[in-house]
Amino acid sequence: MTRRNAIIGWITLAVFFVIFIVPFIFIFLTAAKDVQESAMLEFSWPSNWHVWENFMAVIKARNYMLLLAYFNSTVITVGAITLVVVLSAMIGYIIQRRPGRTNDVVMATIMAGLMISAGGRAHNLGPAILGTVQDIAWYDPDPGILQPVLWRAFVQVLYRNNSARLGRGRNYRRGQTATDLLPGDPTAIKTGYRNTDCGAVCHNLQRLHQYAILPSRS
Amino acid sequence: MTLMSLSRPNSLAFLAGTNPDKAMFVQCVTCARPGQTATVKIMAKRKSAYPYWFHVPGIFIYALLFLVPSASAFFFSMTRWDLFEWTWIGFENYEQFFKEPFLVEGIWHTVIYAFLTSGTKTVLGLLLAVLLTSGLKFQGFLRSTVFFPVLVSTIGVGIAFAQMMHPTKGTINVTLAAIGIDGPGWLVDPELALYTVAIVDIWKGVGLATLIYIAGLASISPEYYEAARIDGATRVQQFWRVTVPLVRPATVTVLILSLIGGLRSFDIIWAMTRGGPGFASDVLASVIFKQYQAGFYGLSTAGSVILFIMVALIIMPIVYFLNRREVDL
Repeated sequence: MTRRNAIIGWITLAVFFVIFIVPFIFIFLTAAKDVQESAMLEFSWPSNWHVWENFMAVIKARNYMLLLAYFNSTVITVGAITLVVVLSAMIGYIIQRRPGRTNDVVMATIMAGLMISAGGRAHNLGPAILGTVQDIAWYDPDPGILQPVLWRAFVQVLYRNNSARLGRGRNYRRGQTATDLLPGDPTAIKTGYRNTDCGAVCHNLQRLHQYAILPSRS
Repeated sequence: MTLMSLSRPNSLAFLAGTNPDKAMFVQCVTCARPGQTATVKIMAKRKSAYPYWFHVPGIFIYALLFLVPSASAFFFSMTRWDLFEWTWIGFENYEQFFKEPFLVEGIWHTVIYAFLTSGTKTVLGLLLAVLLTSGLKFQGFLRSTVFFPVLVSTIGVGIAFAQMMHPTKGTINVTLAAIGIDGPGWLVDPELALYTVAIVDIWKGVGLATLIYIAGLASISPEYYEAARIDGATRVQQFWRVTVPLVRPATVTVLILSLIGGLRSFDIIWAMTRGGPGFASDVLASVIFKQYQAGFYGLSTAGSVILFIMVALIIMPIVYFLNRREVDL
């Protein structure tokens, strides 16, 4: 840790404190005030702390509706995420690995789902599947860090386990990339892939190969 | 091997010993005679490791919860509808929608809002990601801080910021007054309200962009930077010549996701201004919701269809353009 990084670190911390943390302090302090005091909208220390009363009031409101809501949310979330993880991974896997007209149609339908807003948010499945395809197509085999959503983690597992099948049917050994396996000049192969007309979905696969080849060009 | 005897041996010699279903694909492209293709198809059917039935459960739910409601949306947008009875009126809803100046204004607000938020999120996200991968002190804590607003409820954030942006009593203007600045009426000024909401949206959403960019930056090999340094590139040159081109997949993801999110955004606008003052910060989604609340179900459904078409018209060319450029990289 250089001196410079320490100084920039402190400055960033100060800026982030004002921009990202102060609003949450405001939320917390307001949540601890009684009704009259909170209505003044002041950024001030509460004269009396009402944390527990406010907390209980929220829970008790409308005959403990909050607890029921939590229960419902949990059931919906767990159920939905489970389904999304399993089903969208299945679809994304097939779309990615089996280029063809059928999958072009499926992909286009799912893309439409991402853009439509009618029917509310009941269609989380669409973005998830698209994300699966994007993840397989766009991310390095070693994405490093921070795959925020559960299904992404799942897809990564799927991807790693099956990366052996990528690249013209040859088998990878551990640690190899597409560059190591594709014979000849990578640029020529890249051009060959580009000239192959295999529909929109297949471009994702082509892109993956290019992305894997990319590090060898310098 | 049957495969070999049915096909042109020379062109397929390299397939010997490879994964059969991959071989099927290549062969189907190169085969000339119909008889060969048929044989190949039978084999592919038996051997494919990627069966189409994987689509069935997902597509079933997708059709049930999305395709059917969407198709019915197109239908009901052509009707006068009170949820129980409908009368066919053709394109009257659409005509009405485009005749109402406030509704048309909502379309422009949507476009401005979406491009403003997604553009700023992309730029800020990249800069923050570069900053937060440069080995600062408190780096882990700072990453968590910038991501934290993504996790909390949009409605809660909207309410809290609406309080802090109160023109006279709000924390922001009180603070500005203390250092001698006359703060603007953030949410009550019709000229400003939409941009204020956009700022709060950026505040809340920039963490996700940063996160995606950090993952993207992590996949760039350090060797590029090493080579650039040896060639004498400055930090700024490294950023423009190495980071920006190579982080492109992340840029595409961030841009598309935040643009679609911006075009469809509703909850933060509803929590902060309800489209007000007047119609100054009304976007399409809030217009649709207001029509729905007022009981104009047909009209609001027509609005949804317009929103869909608009998102498609904006997103499709952008996706096409970005993907094509990526191929040329």
